Amino acid sequence: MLELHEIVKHYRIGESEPVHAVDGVSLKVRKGELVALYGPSGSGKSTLLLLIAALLRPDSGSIVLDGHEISALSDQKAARYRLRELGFVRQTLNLTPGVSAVDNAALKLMGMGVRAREAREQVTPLMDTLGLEDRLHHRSDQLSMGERQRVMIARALSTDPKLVLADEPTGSLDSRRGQEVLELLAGVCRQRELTVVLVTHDPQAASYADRVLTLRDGQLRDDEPEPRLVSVDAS
Amino acid sequence: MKLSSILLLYRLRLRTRIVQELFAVAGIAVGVALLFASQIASTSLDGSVQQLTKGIVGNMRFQLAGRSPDGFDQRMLGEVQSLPGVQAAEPVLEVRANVLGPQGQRSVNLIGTDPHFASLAGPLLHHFTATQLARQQAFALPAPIAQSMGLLSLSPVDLQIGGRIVASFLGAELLRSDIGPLVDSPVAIAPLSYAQKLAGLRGRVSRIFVKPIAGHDAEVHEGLARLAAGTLDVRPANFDATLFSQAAGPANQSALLFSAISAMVGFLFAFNAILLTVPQRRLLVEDLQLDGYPRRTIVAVLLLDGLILGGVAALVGLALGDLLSLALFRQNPDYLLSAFAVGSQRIVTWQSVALAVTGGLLAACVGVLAPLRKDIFSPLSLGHAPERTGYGGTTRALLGGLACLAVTTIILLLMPQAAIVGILSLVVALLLLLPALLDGVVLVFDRLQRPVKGAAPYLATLELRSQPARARSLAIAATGAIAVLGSVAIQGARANLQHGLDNATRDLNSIADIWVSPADPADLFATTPFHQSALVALRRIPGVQALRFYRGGFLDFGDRRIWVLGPPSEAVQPIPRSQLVSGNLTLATSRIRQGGWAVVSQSIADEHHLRVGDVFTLPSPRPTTLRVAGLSTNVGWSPGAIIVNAQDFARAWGSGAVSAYNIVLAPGVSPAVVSREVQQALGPHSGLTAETTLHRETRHREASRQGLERLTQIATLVLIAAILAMAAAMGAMIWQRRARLADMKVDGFSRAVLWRALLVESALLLGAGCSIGAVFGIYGQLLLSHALATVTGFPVVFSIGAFVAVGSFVVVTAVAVAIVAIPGYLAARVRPALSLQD
Amino acid sequence: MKPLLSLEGVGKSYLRGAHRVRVLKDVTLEVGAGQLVAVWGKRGVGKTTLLKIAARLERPDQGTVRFEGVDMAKLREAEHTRLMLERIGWVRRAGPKSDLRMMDYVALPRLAERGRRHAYGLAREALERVGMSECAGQHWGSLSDGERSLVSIAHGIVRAPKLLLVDDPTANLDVIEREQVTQLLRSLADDEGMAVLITVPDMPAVMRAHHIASLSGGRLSTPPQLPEEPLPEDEEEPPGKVIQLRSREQSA
Repeated sequence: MLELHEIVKHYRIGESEPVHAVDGVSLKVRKGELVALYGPSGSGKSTLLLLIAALLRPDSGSIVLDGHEISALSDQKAARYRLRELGFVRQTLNLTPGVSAVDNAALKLMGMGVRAREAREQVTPLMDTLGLEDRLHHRSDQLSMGERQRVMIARALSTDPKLVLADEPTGSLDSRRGQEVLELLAGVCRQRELTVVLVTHDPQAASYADRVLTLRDGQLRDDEPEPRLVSVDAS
Repeated sequence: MKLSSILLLYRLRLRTRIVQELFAVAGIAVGVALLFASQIASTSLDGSVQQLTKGIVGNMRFQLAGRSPDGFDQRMLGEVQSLPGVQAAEPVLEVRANVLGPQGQRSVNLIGTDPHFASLAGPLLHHFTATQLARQQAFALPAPIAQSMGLLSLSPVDLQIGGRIVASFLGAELLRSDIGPLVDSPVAIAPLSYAQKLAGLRGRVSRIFVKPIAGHDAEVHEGLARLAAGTLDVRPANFDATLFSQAAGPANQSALLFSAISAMVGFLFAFNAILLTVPQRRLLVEDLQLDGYPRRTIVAVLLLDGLILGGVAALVGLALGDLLSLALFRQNPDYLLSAFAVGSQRIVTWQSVALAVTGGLLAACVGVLAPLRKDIFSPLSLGHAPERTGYGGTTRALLGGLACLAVTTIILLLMPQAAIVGILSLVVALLLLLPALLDGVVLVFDRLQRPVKGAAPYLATLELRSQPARARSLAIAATGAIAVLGSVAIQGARANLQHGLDNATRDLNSIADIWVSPADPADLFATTPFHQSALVALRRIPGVQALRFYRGGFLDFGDRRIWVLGPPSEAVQPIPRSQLVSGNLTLATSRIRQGGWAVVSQSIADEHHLRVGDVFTLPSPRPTTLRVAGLSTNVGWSPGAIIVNAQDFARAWGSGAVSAYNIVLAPGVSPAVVSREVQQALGPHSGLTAETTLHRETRHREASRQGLERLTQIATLVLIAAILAMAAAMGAMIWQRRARLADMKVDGFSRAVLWRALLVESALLLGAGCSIGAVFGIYGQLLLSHALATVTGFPVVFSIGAFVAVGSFVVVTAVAVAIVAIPGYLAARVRPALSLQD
Repeated sequence: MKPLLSLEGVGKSYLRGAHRVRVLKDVTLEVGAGQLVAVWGKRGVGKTTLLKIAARLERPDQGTVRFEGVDMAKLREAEHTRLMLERIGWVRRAGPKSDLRMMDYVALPRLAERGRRHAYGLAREALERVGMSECAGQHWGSLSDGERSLVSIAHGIVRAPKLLLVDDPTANLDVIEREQVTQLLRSLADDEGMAVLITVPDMPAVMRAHHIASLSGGRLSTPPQLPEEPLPEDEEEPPGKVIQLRSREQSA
């Protein structure tokens, strides 16, 4: 389904900051699998996600989704790929302010050329599943953070994407709500047999995955043990 | 809190947001500049006349003024001086003269006075005694005017006075150090006897200025009235300024209206700009509140913020406004020059400066404080309730808007003299109705674009429906709407007025094929008398069928300096047919021809309660009783006009002098050819010039266009300011949205789609605002045209300026959107990774 | 000795949707000078509400809150804001809202007194006290969670408050950072004599408190004494990112 082969990416932020890199990562994800990329900040996991989303181009290596090379798409094609094949769940919750939840969720469908009414109809069942059935017509600024994140998930999943990327999806939420949202995300993806790559530094989040890969200094470490939930163990 | 600490807070905020702050400064500065420049323009006009009057009059109290250009007998001076209670009296001869320099000519007010008395008068004449001119056969000119014609001191120069050209001598140039700001006034000064000789008016004076002994005003006034005996006028010494402000009234009113509209556009510009800095200021306020700072401190911090912003902006605005008035508003309306000596000095009063600065400071403080009033007065608490921006006030706004529209309509129908109030209530109506109208436009667009596939229009309406951005969107739309409203209303009214003036010009000039009149370009209305000469030679030119005498002049009638026209009775159309508003044209024409009848401007008739058939006495040099044959417009002269036949004119003035020859040609003869022959026959030393009707009409049109040009200029400026304001505010709004745009790129929206969406949104918002403004502007145009016609009696041809309206709406929208396209493009290029960073 | 802060019979309820939720029922709590008191409870039980009520940032439905023996409810608005500026340090975990350097942010509460030089001197000391001197020139966005927590405390203590209120100071922190923060809070109580009231979602963080109280079902229960066991020994992460926290030797 998704195959990464010897991906290398170097880049720097500012001038004196250290060079972050993805350093020869190879990875295969099967259809319907939920894979967590776990690692501390600066380990290169977000970079990896950007590469898979064709928002960055690797210095070398190849990324193949369903037989299509996506590491060298033109800007136009990359946008099309993200619109139609990809669902990207992320930490930032940039909903269009003052517009209803359902309109915010239907945005991607609208971008694909679906008419507004149909788009709203299509996205409604998904929002029901995500527990937003009585929030459809609330304005986005009336939603709680957890609800906003669920609207973003609805938007990401609305197009039935081949691949779902989730970048610290619980980063803006407190742990209890984060857990709820993760449960929902994992549940919906399993139910719809969507392939998911989840990036997180939260061991709790990683525990929802079929497989956890640890990333450190830009490389996958198969030898490291899976992270333990320290605080849960302690109490 | 100490001032230094407040300043520190200001600096801290500025450090990260200098660009937004500069933008806010620019916004307010443009507003201040517009206000200041239009203020200067209007004060300069009135002020220069007042200055000149004061420069001549000094502390004199009364004047005994002649009614004819020939003045009255100088011996009157002795009688005035011997009146009990008179401290001093000063004789003055005033004639219009055209100075013919090697590099051009200049029409000036030639003032002759007796150096003996001059020390008593104003600074202009006061200095005159000091020059060596007093006993010489020479005159003096302000240096800038002499230089502009290439004239040097102590050199011979020709003067054209009336129909004659006389040789003279420039004795001195008057410098700014001599006569102050009057150095920009078109005057020439000569000893009285020499001026009389130049003008061919030996022993005549135009006025005698009188200064009574303190406490004897009434006594002196009485004595003067007795001497005047109904053929001279007794007036306050500075009466010219009064007459002028009456004549310039419509011009000043339009300037006032424009000041108001500029101020509004400027304030909206500023408000737009300040809105940019609001979020950030709000955050600082919250920080201070959470730290437990009292309300007083927070208000102080914000107030200082506003004062600095407003202060800097006001300074920049004053400089900008000064430049603007230098570059655009220097020219005075020529048509006023034919009846008044108007200087070209720019007069900046402290009131203008104070008004502009106060406006700037007020706009800044209101702009800073108003959006944060809720934050300031909410009690200290964490976690703000979601902002209420709903439709609570909608119904009230709608009702208020309709009420304002009703007020405008009432003014239009019942009291057109309150046109400015009407325009203001129209603007308020626009502002109140704008939110609902804008929603309507968005709704309609939303409906229309539904069947259309494609994300861009949808994204655009999504943004426009977004509540938190509403204040900003409305401010942007309102800027365009008000600018277009003002521009359409005034441009439309101007076009209607222009059309009416053109009709008057055509009718007035068409009574002859060739006009022969003094060559003075300021003699626009043919009001300078000259003595008949060369008649035989002119009549002998082949093709000349008839040569008739046309007479005309200005006359002070009450508080108005009116224009009296004396067309020859043989003229085909002695009454300009398009200008008659009441009375039967055929009957009135035959009565005018017959003599003893006059056509009077409606405004004069109203003032003196005259109706057709009524009898009145014209206060001419020989007061003459006339009957009203009909009522007319003001024929293009704002104080009004009276039309009599040329013989009646001669009788009333007691002089056979004419102010133009009207030559009528045989059918099929070319006016251009004959006009050249006429010019030849007049000879090289004649002060007269011949021109065809076509040429003369063109010259008149240009003069009236030039008089109205300032309106066009200000309207254009307001539009440009509005375009910049909208484009900048829109651009900034888009720029602040980059994080969300980045987010949408992650979701797979391409740059092209996002850019298109931004353009559609801009076009929709700006187009809606401007088109609403255009519709209201047409209503405003109706109001203004109506007011011009009924209140000032200008000839106005009513038409709906749909072309102007559509034109301004399209141009403003298109240019603003084109400018917005640039930040839109850059914003659409945002790196998607921005969305993934915290 | 009278306690610095006391809550007596405090109750509070919210309208959540259609039904009313009682988050606090008859809560009584005292905090004295030099004491570190931790309120422990799960997410959403009303710990933050309790803290806000203690600072009168929210009003209780029932009960009294006294600070230095004075009924907080009876303070005028201006008196309350003055209290918040000078005597109660409310630690804002969210950081400054406006875009300030940390030095400016920490100095903000003291700007009112004697001008900027004075305020900046105090800010420098406060940052030094929490061991964050090197963050003076940075902006909130560039700080790690641990640094943010410490700088926030500096912003709270810069006014030399009698009472320090900290909502969940250990959120998102790893074990070592947690330890540093709690140690700092403890030393503020022990060395500076501040009354410190904090909320914590889980046990390890409360270990350094003099008293703990657990909030659950709207009721506060105070265990008779502190659990005596030492901190659970977590596997030590490799050192390197340890922030050195050393209470500065107070000069008289």
